[in-house]
Amino acid sequence: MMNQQDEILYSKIEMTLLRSPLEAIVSITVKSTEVLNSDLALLKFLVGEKNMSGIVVCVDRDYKQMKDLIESIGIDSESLLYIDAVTLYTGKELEENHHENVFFVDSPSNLTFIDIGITELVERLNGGFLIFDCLSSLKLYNNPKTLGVFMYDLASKLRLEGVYGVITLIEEDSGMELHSTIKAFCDKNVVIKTGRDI
Amino acid sequence: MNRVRTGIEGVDRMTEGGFPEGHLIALVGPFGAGKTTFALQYIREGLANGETCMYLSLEEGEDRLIKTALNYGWDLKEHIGNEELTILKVEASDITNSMSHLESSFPVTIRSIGASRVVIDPFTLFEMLFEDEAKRRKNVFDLCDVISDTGATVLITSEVNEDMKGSRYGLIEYIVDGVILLHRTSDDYGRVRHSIQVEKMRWSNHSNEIKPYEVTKDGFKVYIKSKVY
Repeated sequence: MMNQQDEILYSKIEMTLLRSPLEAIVSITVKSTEVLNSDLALLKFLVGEKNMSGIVVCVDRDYKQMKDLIESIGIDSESLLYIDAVTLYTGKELEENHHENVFFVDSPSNLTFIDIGITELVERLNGGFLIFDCLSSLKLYNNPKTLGVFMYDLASKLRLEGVYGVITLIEEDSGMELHSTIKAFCDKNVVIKTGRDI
Repeated sequence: MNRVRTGIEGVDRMTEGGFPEGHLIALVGPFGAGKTTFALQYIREGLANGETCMYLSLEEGEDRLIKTALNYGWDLKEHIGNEELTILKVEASDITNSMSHLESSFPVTIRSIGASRVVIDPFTLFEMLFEDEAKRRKNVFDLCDVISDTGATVLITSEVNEDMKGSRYGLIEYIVDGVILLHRTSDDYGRVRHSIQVEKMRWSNHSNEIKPYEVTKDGFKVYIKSKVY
């Protein structure tokens, strides 16, 4: 169930996305405390309203946790694919029968295999969307310049494949050079504020 | 120019469809990079196409190579029984005693069994036999020359030098028709990353890009649509 502030966030995201063509690459800047809510609002709109399938890149929590969160707000997660850079990194064993929609990467520092995973999953999508909310975490594990190149290549790949890309940026990091770089190659940059984060 | 598919899709795409037929190709890489897997996959592709193949091993015995291949689901035994595959194990001491004999007998063997694909793994052991650089150069050149004359498409594997940017003696790159280099690097956290590059491929408009690869349960896999970060 969504509370009033979640509804505000959802309607702002809905309005933002409705105003931008869905083949674009969009950056959404939110407070760090709103990243997860923003993700869920995005998914509610893209999956629930637009009936799209998509990819969620999981670096801050493993795909199972993300899947549970998504399902907890009533979104059908069957149409979602995941890049999971948490499970193996934390030393968890992979179960045998849950891998079809998940591409596991051994570490958040392995941008090469995150790229390989995205490439493979994008081919299965036939359009759709990709939500990338983990820039802040990836910068802990990767050189900012390399991460900038990775993000640029990712945006190019998504454009080429007609995948709608949403890159979530954290407002507290807005002074970072990497943010300016990303905003420069995004087609649209929006800042979303809710009552709770002001 | 006919192309010989390697059995590794990414490598075929990087080389305009595979190795040029009849060429001598060097696969240069550090230990644990997957050179033998690559070589076995190359042989397995030939066998799948009905070709006669030969694997000259200077390190691992036939049983071990069969087990390694089986680990990827490639059963070589049947092909050995049908004389489609010949595995020769040559001891380093035999080479030392009779390099000239090897130079004459090896091409004869390739021709007599009609092998169109040949692997020599690892070729570095030949090079190590000669302390004198001039002798090494002459003998390696002569051996490559007689092998090339057989018309088979030959893959030789070689260890890298200390800086991992070329073969151990920096010699075979000048002799062979093609060079594929396997890179091993570590990220800031010490995690190993593997990548592949076609450094030279005569008569080919080959890719110069460095592409990631891994050795999976199904063999050597190159991720041609991705890049190394």
